[in-house]
Amino acid sequence: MSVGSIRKSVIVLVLGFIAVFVQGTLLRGSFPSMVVPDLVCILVVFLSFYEPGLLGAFLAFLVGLQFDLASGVLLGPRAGSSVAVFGFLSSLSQRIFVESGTAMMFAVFISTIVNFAVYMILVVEFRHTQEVVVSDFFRLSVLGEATLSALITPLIFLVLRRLFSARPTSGGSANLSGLSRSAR
Amino acid sequence: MAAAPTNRVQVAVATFALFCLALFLTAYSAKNPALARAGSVLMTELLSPGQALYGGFRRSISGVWTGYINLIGVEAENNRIRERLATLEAENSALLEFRHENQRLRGVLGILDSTELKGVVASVIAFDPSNWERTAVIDRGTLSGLQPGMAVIHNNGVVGQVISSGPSTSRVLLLTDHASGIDALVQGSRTRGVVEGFGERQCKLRYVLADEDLKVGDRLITSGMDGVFPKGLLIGIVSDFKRTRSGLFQLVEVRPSVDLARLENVLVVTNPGVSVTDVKGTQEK
Repeated sequence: MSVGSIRKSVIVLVLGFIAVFVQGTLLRGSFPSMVVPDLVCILVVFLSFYEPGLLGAFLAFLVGLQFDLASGVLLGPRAGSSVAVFGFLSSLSQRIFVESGTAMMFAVFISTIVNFAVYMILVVEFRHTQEVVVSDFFRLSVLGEATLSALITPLIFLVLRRLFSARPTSGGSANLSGLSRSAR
Repeated sequence: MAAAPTNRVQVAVATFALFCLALFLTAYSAKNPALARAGSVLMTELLSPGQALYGGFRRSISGVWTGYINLIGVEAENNRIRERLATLEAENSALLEFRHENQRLRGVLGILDSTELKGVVASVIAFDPSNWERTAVIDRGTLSGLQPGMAVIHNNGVVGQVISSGPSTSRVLLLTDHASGIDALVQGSRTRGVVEGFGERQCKLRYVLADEDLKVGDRLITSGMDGVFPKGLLIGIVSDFKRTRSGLFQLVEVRPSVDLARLENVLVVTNPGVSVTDVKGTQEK
């Protein structure tokens, strides 16, 4: 493992720690009745576009595990959902090249919902929750969370890009609607 | 270019392996909660200095706001409160008379009452970062005598239960969490049930038979039968209920008495074995 990789890993883990602190303490403590953005998911999406290799997969797992440790009820569901999101997006990021802010916002929006769905499946399955009212919860809470996360994505990505001096990995020539290929 | 497909395969395999590892961890921690709690204690202790600092900062900002800036309408509110206080003092005086008579009669019957709660006051410094779990972190731990399993209350209303404790912090499972279950009584009719968390700011009262008499506004109190919560603490109010034609039980919704979203200070009950002695020395805990 190179020095650069170690440095990146340490920065990501520290950022994961900060994200958990900000989400659980600053945001939920200050706005307890309101939906807050999922900063950890934004970090995982960033990893999937800017570090889509083995190191990124491992870091996505660890960042999710940090979230589980902060939650303290079950260990593993958030790690699993983070890895699932990473796997999904990294496979796409290597086929397309995306630099537009709108595309990133859309990616974060979808990822937050996918992340929540996988997380819910794991939690409900292993905690044997008797009744899960998904419709209202999903509609009010997750969509709000996904929207909020998407809105702050350009700012967060700007900071992360500067922190890592990162450029997205280049991919193939496939185009998806709304996304554009960027020149290197 | 040959390296690219191999890398993709490697990443896919690694992602799948990590997902399986996460599944295994989830299953293992579901069966062995001590693992998750130990990790949670470590994480909470690491986060606690920042959380405590931010909590203090927030309280001082809140103090400036309520003490200086938010004084519009204070005089009118003050007058309203004075009138209400006068009414309550009159009611209190009557209630004191009832209390004295109750104590006198209990003395006559030989019933002893030792329901004085002892506890540790703590501040809430953080909430669970996820939208699904309902837990809070308080700034007291084993060094203050707290242990997992202790009841947490606020103004004689139920907040939840300590599920893990570190030296200086503890994690509280709120009563609105899906894993929470509290043995309850309806105050008037003495109907028994279990209050389970239902996320957001809601609970449900389960196992209430369809023919039991309930009404909206009924108060739910702890029965004391679970050995965690002392008897008589207010859990919440019945907000809605439904009797189905074929079902054995009613569907009862409960609004918690404590506003969990605005929780700042709580009391952790350190004498959970509060007991009431029945006639002729029989003790029920």
